[in-house]
Amino acid sequence: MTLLKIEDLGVYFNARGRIVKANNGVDLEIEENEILGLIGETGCGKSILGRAIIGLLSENVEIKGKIIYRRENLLTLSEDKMRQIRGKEIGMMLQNPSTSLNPVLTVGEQIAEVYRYHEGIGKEEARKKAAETFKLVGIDPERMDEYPHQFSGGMKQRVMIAIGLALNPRILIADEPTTGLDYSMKKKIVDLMSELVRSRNMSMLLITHDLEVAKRMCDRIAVMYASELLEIAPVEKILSEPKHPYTQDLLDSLPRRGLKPIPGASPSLTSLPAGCRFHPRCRYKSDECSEKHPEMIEIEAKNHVRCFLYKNDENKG
Amino acid sequence: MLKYILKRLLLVFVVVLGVTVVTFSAMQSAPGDPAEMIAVARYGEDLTQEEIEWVRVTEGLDAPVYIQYLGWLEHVLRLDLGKSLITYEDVLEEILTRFPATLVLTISSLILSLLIALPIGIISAVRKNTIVDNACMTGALLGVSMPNFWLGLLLIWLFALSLGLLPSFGYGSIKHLILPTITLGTSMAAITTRLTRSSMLDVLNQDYIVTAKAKGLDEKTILLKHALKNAMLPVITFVGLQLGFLLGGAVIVETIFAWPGIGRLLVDSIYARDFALIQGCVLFIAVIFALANLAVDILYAYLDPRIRYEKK
Ligand SMILES: Nc1ncnc2c1ncn2[C@@H]1O[C@H](COP(=O)(O)OP(=O)(O)O)[C@@H](O)[C@H]1O
Ligand code: SF4
Ligand SMILES: [Mg+2]
Repeated sequence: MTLLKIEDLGVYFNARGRIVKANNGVDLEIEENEILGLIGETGCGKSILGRAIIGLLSENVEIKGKIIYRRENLLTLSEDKMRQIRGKEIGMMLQNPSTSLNPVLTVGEQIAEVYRYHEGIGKEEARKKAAETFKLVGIDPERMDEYPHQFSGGMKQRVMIAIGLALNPRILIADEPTTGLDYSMKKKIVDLMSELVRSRNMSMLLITHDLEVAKRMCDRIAVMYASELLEIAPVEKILSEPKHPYTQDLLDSLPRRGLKPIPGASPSLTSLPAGCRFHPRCRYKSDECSEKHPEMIEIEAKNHVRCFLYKNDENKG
Repeated sequence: MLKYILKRLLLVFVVVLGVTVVTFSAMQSAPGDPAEMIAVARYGEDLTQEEIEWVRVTEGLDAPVYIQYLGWLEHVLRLDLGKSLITYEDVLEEILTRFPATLVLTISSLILSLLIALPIGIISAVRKNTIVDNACMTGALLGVSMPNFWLGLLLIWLFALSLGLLPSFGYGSIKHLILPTITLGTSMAAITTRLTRSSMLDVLNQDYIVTAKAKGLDEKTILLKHALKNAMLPVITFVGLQLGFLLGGAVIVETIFAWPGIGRLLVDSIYARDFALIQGCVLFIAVIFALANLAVDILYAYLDPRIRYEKK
């Protein structure tokens, strides 16, 4: 069952007269009980997609398309209704925990307030619930009265998880939850998140540029490049036989696979290349690629690719 | 924290000492013969050279500057600021009788300025680039560019002379306090408003505000709980520094409104070349200023846990 459906999402920023196309024609579905990975190079628009879902983009923005959750389009919901969804239905862990926690409030308060506000319970009770949540994510509740700056990177990330999961949302959006952590801490955080999300039958959108993390946690993976999705496929499939040339290059750039960097640079989102966005860097490009913009097509069950090398199932021989 | 406060107190001492050295040397290098000016103030215009020399010797004005300074300092350490060279009144006593007037004016102006600046600054930030914001910021710009003495005279003209609603000068009742407070408070409010707005705007762009929104909290909680406390940190530092501005502004405002505070006392003592009184006033103002800043730093540390724990 589909829990959240993104249709033809476009996010355009107006940055001093220049239009930054941060998301373009994004179609994506998050299924129930699924961990969906969103991978891609820095600046391609991953965080913007996450922020668009929860309705927290800055004001200088134009948004197109639909984000359907429980038969309602989140993009047209009132602020009041969105507030009911944020935290409760869709939880969010922002990128960079050291700037995403309020420096002047205790970590305990930053969780307890969620319970007080959404569940209308008293101070004591909210504190108790916050302590429970702390235990769940592996923080000693004794530390509730400490401030974020007294926590290490891994501990701050646990606080972020606690905030994201506090109200038991249906979907958790986690933006680069392992960036800046060392190998063993990364592994602990990944296992903790998987365990919590799976045991509660939640869904998760895991934004990362770390393919190892994606591989460890995800059921499906969506690959983003220059504000659009290029490939969506189950994780085993994408790792064993990546279809899109960009996905192939991205996997080859992994340390484990020879650390081969992709030649060229990502295009600027203010002046996207015509035709296939990837054509300036693609080794398979043909004349068609620089003229026409390829559509996303389903080449096999559950495997979508945006590339002229592939044709629809029906069109095949 | 205690260690931090002690360290800061030591710093206060050093700063104040520096201020006294500077004023002492400034007065020495001012034109004119101090002994003659004091003699004129005491005995009138026709004096003999003997009378001038008598003043010079009895007041110790013939000794080298550093001897004069050290002598003065020694008394200061015993809390003795000496006697006025002209009226023979005890300087400390004179200052302490005048200080309440300045304190009342400073505090009422500070309160007025915060009452204006905080709400307007916050509203401007929240309604950024709307008519409301533009109107507030234009008002603040006017406030900043309007000199104290000019606003003071304008208010006197309007409320005292034209409308006859309020007294134009003097001291003693709430009515007397209104015009000087408005003059001093609004000029301070103008700058604080702009700072509150920019600080608030900065904070509202921070990631932790997005986190707060992602929790589904309402705008009021986000503004007053998550944003305000952070936005107040630079404002508090600034207001502390502004206390110096207030004391300086008080000199002008007290003169315009004939407000019997330290500012007036200082101005009068400068005209009279009453060195003991000048030194006393400057020392007193410096100490008050330094202590106020210390109080602000402690308040700041209290509000910002990052500093509180570092200074423990
Ligand atoms: N408020 C904004 N105004 C203009 N451009 C923005 C804004 N926020 C993000 N962008 C641009 O959108 C692009 C995508 O950003 P982001 O989604 O954060 O990338 P990432 O994939 O690394 O998470 C970036 O190139 C960024 O410069
Ligand atoms: S459409 Fe053409 S340029 Fe784009 S990825 Fe496919 S082959 Fe390469
Ligand atoms: Mg990002």
